[in-house]
Amino acid sequence: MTDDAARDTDAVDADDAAGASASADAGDIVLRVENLRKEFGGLVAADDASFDVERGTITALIGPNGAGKSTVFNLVSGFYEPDAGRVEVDGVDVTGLEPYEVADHGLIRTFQTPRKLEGMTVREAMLVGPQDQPGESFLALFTAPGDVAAAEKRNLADAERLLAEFEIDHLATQPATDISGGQTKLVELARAMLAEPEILLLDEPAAGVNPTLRTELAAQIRRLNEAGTTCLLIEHDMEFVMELADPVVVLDQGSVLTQGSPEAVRADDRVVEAYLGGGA
Amino acid sequence: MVDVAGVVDDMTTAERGVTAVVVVAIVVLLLGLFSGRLAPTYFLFLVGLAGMYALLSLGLNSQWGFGGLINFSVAAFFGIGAYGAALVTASNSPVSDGFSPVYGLAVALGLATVLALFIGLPTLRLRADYLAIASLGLAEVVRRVILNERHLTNGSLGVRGVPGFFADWPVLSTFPEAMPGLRIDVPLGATVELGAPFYRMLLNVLLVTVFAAGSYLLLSRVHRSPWGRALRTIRSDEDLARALGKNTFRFKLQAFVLGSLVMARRQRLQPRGAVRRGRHRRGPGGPAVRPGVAGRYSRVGERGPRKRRLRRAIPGVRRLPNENPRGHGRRRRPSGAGWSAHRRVDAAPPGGDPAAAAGTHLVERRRRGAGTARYRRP
Repeated sequence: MTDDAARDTDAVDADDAAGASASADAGDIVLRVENLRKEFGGLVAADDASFDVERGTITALIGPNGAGKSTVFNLVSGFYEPDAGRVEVDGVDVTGLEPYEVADHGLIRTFQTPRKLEGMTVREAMLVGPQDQPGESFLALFTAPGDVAAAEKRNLADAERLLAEFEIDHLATQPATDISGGQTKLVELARAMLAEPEILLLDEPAAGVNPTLRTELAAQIRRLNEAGTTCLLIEHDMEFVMELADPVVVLDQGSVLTQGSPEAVRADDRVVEAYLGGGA
Repeated sequence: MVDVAGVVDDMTTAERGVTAVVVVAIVVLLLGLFSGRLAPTYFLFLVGLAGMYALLSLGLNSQWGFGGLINFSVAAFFGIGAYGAALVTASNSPVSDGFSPVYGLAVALGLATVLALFIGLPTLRLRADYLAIASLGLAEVVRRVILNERHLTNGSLGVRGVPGFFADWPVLSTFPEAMPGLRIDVPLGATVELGAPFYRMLLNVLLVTVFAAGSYLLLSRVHRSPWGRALRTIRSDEDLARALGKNTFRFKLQAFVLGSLVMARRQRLQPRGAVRRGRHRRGPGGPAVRPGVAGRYSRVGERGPRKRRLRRAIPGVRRLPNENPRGHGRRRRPSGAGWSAHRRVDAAPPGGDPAAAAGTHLVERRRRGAGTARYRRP
């Protein structure tokens, strides 16, 4: 873990290093997006989008409505297949892979409006998170019940620990359908951590969350980041982004407009123009 | 001891509702049995029928309930299992002759697996709607093939001469005949008679019960397992499952095949006597009152109600052109037992016969040897 700590220190200095993808040390880049392009009919939703996410950062992807943020998220996580371009996770090309294969390489994403898991308690919903569970093989249920039980016990302990860390352990036995939107986001975050991701993609984590829980959510994301988790998030709430993220990547009309520290991005006239409309 | 209160407490509202209906049905059946309204063999037949539908429901539940896979071709899987087993084991099958019913079961399961993969592989990568549409088509295709491939299936007349499941088992094959006939005074005043048909049916019902209970226990276990949990996640939100690293196609295909295998086992449960249509034997304690719908129950193929209506409309015609061209089952039909022959039974069976108890005459109408008992007031 000393390596991770060293990388974290590097990342703190790297205010405007995000644009220097070609020269960056491959070991520091968790996610590399190169010239991604995606068209829907005549609409170009992603147009030569390129950016890197360095290990240990909380990188935000912002932009006005229709800028292509969600498209880029879906391309990166395997839900869309790009027309052109390349996605690398930890130096491994994952372009065009299925979402579950991308997840296998350590990229876990959350959803803006997660559907609640019916018929499960919060604890059970958490247990979907861990990767490569022996009990997820039908045959192993009968050929290796001991392994299945041991892994289940381990995962259950991890789930309880994470629920406590996220201060939602009081919800453990409640039906997953009965908790609030904000609590669902916290559960989703905790569940994603059970998958031990290299990089966590958060799709509008603050959307539809009340202010108290939003502060709690920001604190939890910061805590995860300090513990070594790299995050890439889409968010419309600028206060949330500016408080949490560094660097910030601005998308407009499918391509990267600019990227850098929150202060630098906020001071950039092009960003103001993209949000408020051209012709000024 | 089973903690009944605890079990009920753990149930959801829906489970309590289903359990209540099942309990009421059991009580009604038992009342029917003990009051003499239901002959013991018919009582068992109803229990077996319920067990078979339970198997079909369990199969469908492992597809639709676990994984949200909408399958409209339940009958196709049951049919393919039934014909697969019948063609391997039946004495007058054009494919083979008289293999053990255990092999028949293996062939049924194998065919169901192949069919499930055939329909699942191309559609389960897509959204649920496509499986539903394809399964609607599959049900019709299988039905058409079964009806029209007469050289194999004997068309709408069905394959006959299918042996009972225990036909070649060491003790169980002779168990019904070896058991002594019994007359028992039941608590509500009726006397029931237990003969060979009863014991034969008992074996079949035990088989159904073992299959249904085994399936229930297996499916309960996998439902609670990490495998079942992943499937339930897929049912609620497939994208979430994919984002969490679950190969949803694999899970769905496995659930689909599993459900199909549970459904395909239904075919082994026909009562033996009824499969051999025309074998109308009396039990040791007098004339046996046979299940009224045994004829319908007995056939692997459908009865062909349209043809039957047509025959009735043309006086004197007992067989239509092209019907049963290979003469399947013909040799087993007793002479003089035509579909329209009526036989009046003067000596009402003692005790257990509800018709006799009500002071009525039994008129047994023998339909093409399969037999349907009906009661008429004089």
